[in-house]
Amino acid sequence: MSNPKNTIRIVVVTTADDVDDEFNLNQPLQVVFNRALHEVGGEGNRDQFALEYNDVVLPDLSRKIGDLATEFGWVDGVVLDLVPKPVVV
Amino acid sequence: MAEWRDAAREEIAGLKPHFVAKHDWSPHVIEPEGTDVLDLVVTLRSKRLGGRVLALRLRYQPDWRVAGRREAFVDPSDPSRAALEYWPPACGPNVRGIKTRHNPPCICLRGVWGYHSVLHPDRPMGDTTLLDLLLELQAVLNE
Repeated sequence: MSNPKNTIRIVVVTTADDVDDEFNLNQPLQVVFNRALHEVGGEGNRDQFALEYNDVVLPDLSRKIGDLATEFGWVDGVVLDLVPKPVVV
Repeated sequence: MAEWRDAAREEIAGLKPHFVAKHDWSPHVIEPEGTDVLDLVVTLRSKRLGGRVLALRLRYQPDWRVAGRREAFVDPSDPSRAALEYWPPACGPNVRGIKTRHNPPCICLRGVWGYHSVLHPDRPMGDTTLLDLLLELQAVLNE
């Protein structure tokens, strides 16, 4: 039976406020990343943050949310983390 | 009550429960009576070091927002014992950014004394947060 919903609830836990919203399955993960980045004020330092699922970085932000949902079995929703990348000088 | 101490307590209390639980940090505050010291001890498990459990002591002193949080790895079963043996190894599977061989041993991550007062005194603490520091440290321990 096909899923009539075209959206999925995604929570992104960040070091500031969290994102908690419905996202269209046809959108790229980049949309979620941008929302989370906005919460931490990190728009100017995009390369210093990463989206993680189950402690694994999701490296390809151009992938559709729906494709990731299928691959990882996200059904009712998912919790991701936005984490800072270590800056070692 | 000293303002620096209140600020330290506030940032420790503000650690997000999600990350504390996820990494099992078990933050513990020790405030020795009659001293200008507030110690936060955090447990860190390192995938890079084969699951070794480390205890990081971050020492807050009145100048912590300028000098950084003074870092030391301590005995996980007795945080009053600080020694080089409790740091990640200097040889073998060393951890990026942790300068066990440096004199003094220190951590090269934003937010700690070693970064802002020893290795890069030209880089101010700015708005570095305890949570960012712990997440970055956890990341290098798991690389």
